[in-house]
Amino acid sequence: MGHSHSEPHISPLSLYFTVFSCLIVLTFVTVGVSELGLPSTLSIIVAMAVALVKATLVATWFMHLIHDTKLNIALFLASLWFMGIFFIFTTFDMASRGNVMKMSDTFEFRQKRADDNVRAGNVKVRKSDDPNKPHAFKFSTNGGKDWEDGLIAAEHSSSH
Amino acid sequence: MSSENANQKHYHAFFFHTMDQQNSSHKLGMWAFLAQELLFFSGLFMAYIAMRYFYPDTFGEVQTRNLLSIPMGFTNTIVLLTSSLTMALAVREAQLIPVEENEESKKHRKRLIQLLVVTAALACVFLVIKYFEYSHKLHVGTLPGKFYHFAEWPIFTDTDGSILGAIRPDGSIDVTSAPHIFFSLYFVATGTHGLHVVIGVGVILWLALRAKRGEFNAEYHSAVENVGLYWHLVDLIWIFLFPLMYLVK
Repeated sequence: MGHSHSEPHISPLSLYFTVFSCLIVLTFVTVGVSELGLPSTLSIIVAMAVALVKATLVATWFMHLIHDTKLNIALFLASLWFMGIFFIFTTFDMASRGNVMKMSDTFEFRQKRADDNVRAGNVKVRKSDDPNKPHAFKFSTNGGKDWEDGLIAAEHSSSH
Repeated sequence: MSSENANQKHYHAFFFHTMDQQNSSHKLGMWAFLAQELLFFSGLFMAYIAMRYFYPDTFGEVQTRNLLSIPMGFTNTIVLLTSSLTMALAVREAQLIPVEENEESKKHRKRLIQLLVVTAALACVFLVIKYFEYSHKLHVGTLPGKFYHFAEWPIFTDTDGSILGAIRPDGSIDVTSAPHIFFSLYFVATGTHGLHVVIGVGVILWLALRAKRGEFNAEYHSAVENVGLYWHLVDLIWIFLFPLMYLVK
């Protein structure tokens, strides 16, 4: 009984270099598009679309999926499928938090808590001594450790 | 059928009927591992999505302040893509080594070893560039979580130590901006990826050693193929990590 190769297919050199050139070009495209300064959502979609094309090129030809059994392809796609479920359902959860307990974890709630803490003096921050700038703050940039250590001047003052 | 075993090559395990079956099984096992690796990294990507959702202003700020070097990230991408090419070419060389020992086998084996070494070297270039990036961050203080102390973009801490947000120039607190969380994500994601690169370097060099010992030929080179698959996955992950961390506002 002779032996058979399931994978006798040896791709020509030119194929590898062609795929490589496409990948390099697409990398330039990724950076170039980001320089265009598109709005945030569109920028993410375009960047991910380009990354997806690159990923497909790598998976199909460098990882030899095109010459491979369907089982390996199915395994790869299955993990992508479950990744997708993970991302989509978790995003649904995050996006709908306000529906059950209003204000419990929204920006407004966190901002209000932060401002309340500042007003109550709970945060490690100092008001300016300058009467002309009553709302200026001096603050610590290492969580107040420099005041604990006995240093007085803050590294950064917002009055500048 | 069992009389085949008497003439089986030493790299043909007895419990596989044919080399074909052995190679397919090896490859399937590797793909199962790669599927796991994808899901492993998907946790980090989900953390990224969550961070984008809760602290949207952070990313624009990071880009505006040039806290991540795009040229370095771009160079790293090119380096990793090239290493993927040399790895794929190495697998091809392994496929071309004839089973009998002759001039051709010596030639392809030599090329295989060279390509594996070049792949490992490019991976080390990647790690060196990463080292420069990390050391700069250590220097300016853009570190994860409670270690964050970057003076030009300070954060507020509550009395119990919890961090409330970043500070705007006018002194108010911006709760939608969280550089300490961004850099936590940055270091964990790129660090885990970097760990995979380090492991990859070790495995690839081990492959080169095995190749030098003459262990691979056209009939048996599944180890080279499978490490190639691993390496391409590492490259794939960086292909997504680079735009998400460095480029997207």
